[in-house]
Amino acid sequence: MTQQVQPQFTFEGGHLMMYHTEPTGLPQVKDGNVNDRDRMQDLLATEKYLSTAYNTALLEASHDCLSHVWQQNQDTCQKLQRQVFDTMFKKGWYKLPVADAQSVSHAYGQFDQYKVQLPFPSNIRPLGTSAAGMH
Amino acid sequence: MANNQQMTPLTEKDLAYIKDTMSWELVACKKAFQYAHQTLEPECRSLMFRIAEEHQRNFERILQHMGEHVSQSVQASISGAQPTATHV
Repeated sequence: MTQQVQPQFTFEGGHLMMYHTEPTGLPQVKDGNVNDRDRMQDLLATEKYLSTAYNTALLEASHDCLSHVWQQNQDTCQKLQRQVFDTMFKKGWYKLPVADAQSVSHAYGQFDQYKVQLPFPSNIRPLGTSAAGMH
Repeated sequence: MANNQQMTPLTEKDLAYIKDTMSWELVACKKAFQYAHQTLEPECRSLMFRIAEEHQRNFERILQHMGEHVSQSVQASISGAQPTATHV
């Protein structure tokens, strides 16, 4: 399992970027050859593709037993996809723009208002209420 | 999940997807294994070996399921060449 890393933040082109750099990260040679990052990128794409393929397959399965086999395989692919991504992020091969706080709170407010349309009473604790099970 | 009640036969569609998914797992396994050998960075390398192994397990899981269908008489008696008693 890849451990969670503590991301760093910088401003770049008007966007707040979230990334991580390895203190021991080797300088990558960027020539025509396929490098470590290319290989990881290809494996990431492979896991994503397999995961999607299994989704189609298991929805089409004629019996539960086969669908279960494909579901187990899909689980594996999804886990591997996360692990490849986490490793790539850790190596500093991913820089992700952070959504600005205003957009987040605006969207929150919008969907919070939509709550009244839901048929069942809410199970969500109001903001700021501490709960024992939370971490 | 219920354990092998009366096993229903594989449909043509099932078989088509089985062949597809097994081919993809085989390629994914071989590719990750080869990449692992080409990669020097230890963390990526060990992850790639693990990926290769997991895809082998996935391949084997499908193959095993297919094997259960092969060993069951249902597939053959329903769709096989030999005529069944009800045919006569």
